[in-house]
Amino acid sequence: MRKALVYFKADSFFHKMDPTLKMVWIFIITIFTFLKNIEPNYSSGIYQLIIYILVLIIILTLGKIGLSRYIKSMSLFIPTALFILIYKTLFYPYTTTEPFTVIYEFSFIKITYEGLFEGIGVALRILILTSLSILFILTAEPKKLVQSLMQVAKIPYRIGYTFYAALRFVPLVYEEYKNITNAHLVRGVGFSKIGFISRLSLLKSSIIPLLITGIRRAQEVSIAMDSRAFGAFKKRTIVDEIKVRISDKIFVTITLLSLISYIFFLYT
Amino acid sequence: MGKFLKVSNLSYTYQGEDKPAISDINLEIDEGEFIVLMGPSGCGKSTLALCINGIIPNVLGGKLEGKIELDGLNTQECEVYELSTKVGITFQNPDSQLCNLIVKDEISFGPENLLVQRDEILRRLDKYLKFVSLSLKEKSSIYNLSGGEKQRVAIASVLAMNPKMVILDEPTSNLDPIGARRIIKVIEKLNSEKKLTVLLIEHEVSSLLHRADRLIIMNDRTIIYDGDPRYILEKYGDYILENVGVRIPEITQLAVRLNKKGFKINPFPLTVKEAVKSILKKKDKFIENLREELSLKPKKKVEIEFIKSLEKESYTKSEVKSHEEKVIDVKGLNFTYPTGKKAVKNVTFNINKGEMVALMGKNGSGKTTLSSLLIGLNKPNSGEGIVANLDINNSSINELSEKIGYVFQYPEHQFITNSCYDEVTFSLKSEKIEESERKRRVNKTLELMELADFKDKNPFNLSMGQKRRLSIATMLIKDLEVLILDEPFTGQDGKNILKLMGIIQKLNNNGLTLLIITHDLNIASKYLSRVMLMDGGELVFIGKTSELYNFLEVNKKRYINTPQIFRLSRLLKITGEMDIPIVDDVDKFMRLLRLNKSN
Repeated sequence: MRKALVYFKADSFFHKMDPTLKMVWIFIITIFTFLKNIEPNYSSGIYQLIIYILVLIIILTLGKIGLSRYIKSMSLFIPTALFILIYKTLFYPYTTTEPFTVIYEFSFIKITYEGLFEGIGVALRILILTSLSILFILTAEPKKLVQSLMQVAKIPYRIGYTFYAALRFVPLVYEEYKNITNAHLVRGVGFSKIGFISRLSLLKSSIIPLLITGIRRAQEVSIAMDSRAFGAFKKRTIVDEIKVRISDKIFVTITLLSLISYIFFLYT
Repeated sequence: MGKFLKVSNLSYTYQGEDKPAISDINLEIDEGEFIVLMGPSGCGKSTLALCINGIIPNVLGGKLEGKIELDGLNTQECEVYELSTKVGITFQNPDSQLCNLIVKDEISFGPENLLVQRDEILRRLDKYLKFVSLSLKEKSSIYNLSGGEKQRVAIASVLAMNPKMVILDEPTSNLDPIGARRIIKVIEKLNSEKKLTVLLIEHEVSSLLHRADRLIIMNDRTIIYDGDPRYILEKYGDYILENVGVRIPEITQLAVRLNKKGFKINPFPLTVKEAVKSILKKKDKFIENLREELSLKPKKKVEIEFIKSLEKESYTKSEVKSHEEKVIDVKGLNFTYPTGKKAVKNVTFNINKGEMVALMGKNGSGKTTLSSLLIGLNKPNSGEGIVANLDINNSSINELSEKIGYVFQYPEHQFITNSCYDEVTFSLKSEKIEESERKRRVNKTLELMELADFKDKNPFNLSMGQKRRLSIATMLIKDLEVLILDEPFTGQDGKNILKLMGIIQKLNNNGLTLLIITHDLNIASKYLSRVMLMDGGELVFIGKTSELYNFLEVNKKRYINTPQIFRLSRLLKITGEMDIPIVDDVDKFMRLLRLNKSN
């Protein structure tokens, strides 16, 4: 599971795409999924299905994420979507003014076309959004992402470097957490018969040492950074300049244009 | 021309503290000098370093008195970044001084901050990366580097700012001897090739003291000696060893003691080679002073017996007790991490009750993983083992930890409660005993560990040596049969090491079996009965230290550093054609001579 949700190396359009533009593109698609669709209401299911199929094709081809990797990464979200589907279908808010067609009815359970399509629509929206996030996580190299945020999105480098620090220290903190829990296991913390409770007591006892070493590390790192003139000037020299590819720009522009024309089509 | 660095009447108190961390420091340094600064833990060495580069008081605040002038700048009056091109500093912990993800970014970090031109940065990157290492790659991820490689990247990243002076704060403390040796080579080059002013703060300096222009000794917050290393160690070596608790090289310890007994060796040696030369000059007198037993024949037998008697006289060394019961007995242990790393390969050995055994080897050779198998933190993939009558395959860590203690490398990782007393009591929570008995046992253990005065103190506020002793105390209060100590001597000064070793010996005398992970062969050969040597997950050697030397001789691979006195006596025997047994520490060497009687 942990492996399924991290960046993987590959040579694809999305891997090479600038992370900031990628975020913009994902944002545009997200707007698509939230647009109020064509009447009648229940056709939203079909509308979402079309977007989902398109997104799926893009992910698998332009992102070179294999089908098995995709399903593995989605393993947490597919059940969620199914649950929403059932919930939305069963508890569709019927109004007296709108007509509805019953497919199946048994005591208090009532399934209608309207309810089913609404459920499918919401479930698909969840699948689309999580698929997009997964596409982003799997194809954005953390280092490139921070660089792009600083250079393309122009966020101040002082803030950008806190992301760097997070990227650098998360694996160290994880390693340290393992060491501390081992140390506490040896001392007899977490020896209960119930797995969950012993895990909880281990987590509880390891938080303070983890915080203390974390704070100390933060102090040491900041001294080391200050010693190397961090924050001396408003700007820094950029050694690895990020060049946004034309194809990225065209890709995002086309998507944006189709969004605008669709909105135009909906509201006129 | 004035001095490059001038510190006058410097005192500094950290924010929120009452006592000053350093006081009355006066120091002048010329450009191009190579200075070694030594002192016991907590004497203010690191504080002085941070004063020189302006972090104190510009970043850390606090109360500073006196004046520091660096290359004409008053450090209190200018910004830290202005000083960063005058003096660069690296720190002890390789992990908390690097803030980038790959090597290239780390080295360009400083000049980027200073708005140096891109082409110039790339030029410096190339130059200084080559300077510190020929094997490191620009694109390497910092996370995957070894401690020594990280330390070298740290040095390169400081050099990239083109400083005139470099301060290195304990660069080798967290490294194994192999990594340390490479760093020391780089440090020598800083001064000899780049003509930089170097201030090296370090505990273990035996391999480079002869290169230093000056030796400064700090004690109790101030500088007590400052001058030519040879002069200082010859004149005050005795006092420093006795009262300051600084680890001076064994070869100088020997020279000091020889001098004291009237066997003056001139010039005063700082290295093994120098000592060999000086002693060979007085070869006749040396042979004349050799104990009579040694000139008797047949030699071989006498030699062996003589060494035996030496060991008896020297220390209450833990003995190999082959006839007694085995407390650790493992066969064919294998362990592979989920990542695919084979950490332990087919390891077979046994340890008898009451032994003290050293577990040695490079970092990453599998020492810690092997220990984790013994304590039950990991289960072996194959192989079997009995530890304290428990089967390591079938016993839970809960059962094993009642019989085997494990003191981690960073004692803080093991602390759970808010006071030393509670910390020790915690270990007894599973035992059903009366309150008064519990109290008695906790107090007794604290006393044994010399921690009785700190009962109510928070474990995290103790000194490094005290933390170590507390973590041992939490293990000892249980009725243990085996105690594993993971690098208990790392980064500690001489005084703390001696104190800890004294306690360890006391425990051993009470019947406890100890397995000590260490890089220090001096300690191993002095106090421990046997040595285990690991390399690449395999156990390549197990036996007495005297056998280990033979093993190292035959196998050209450098696994560990051999003690200086061992090298000295070996060289005397080979190059000086002297008929002396090969010994490995100062006391034994002294006993070769009958200086006591003749003088």
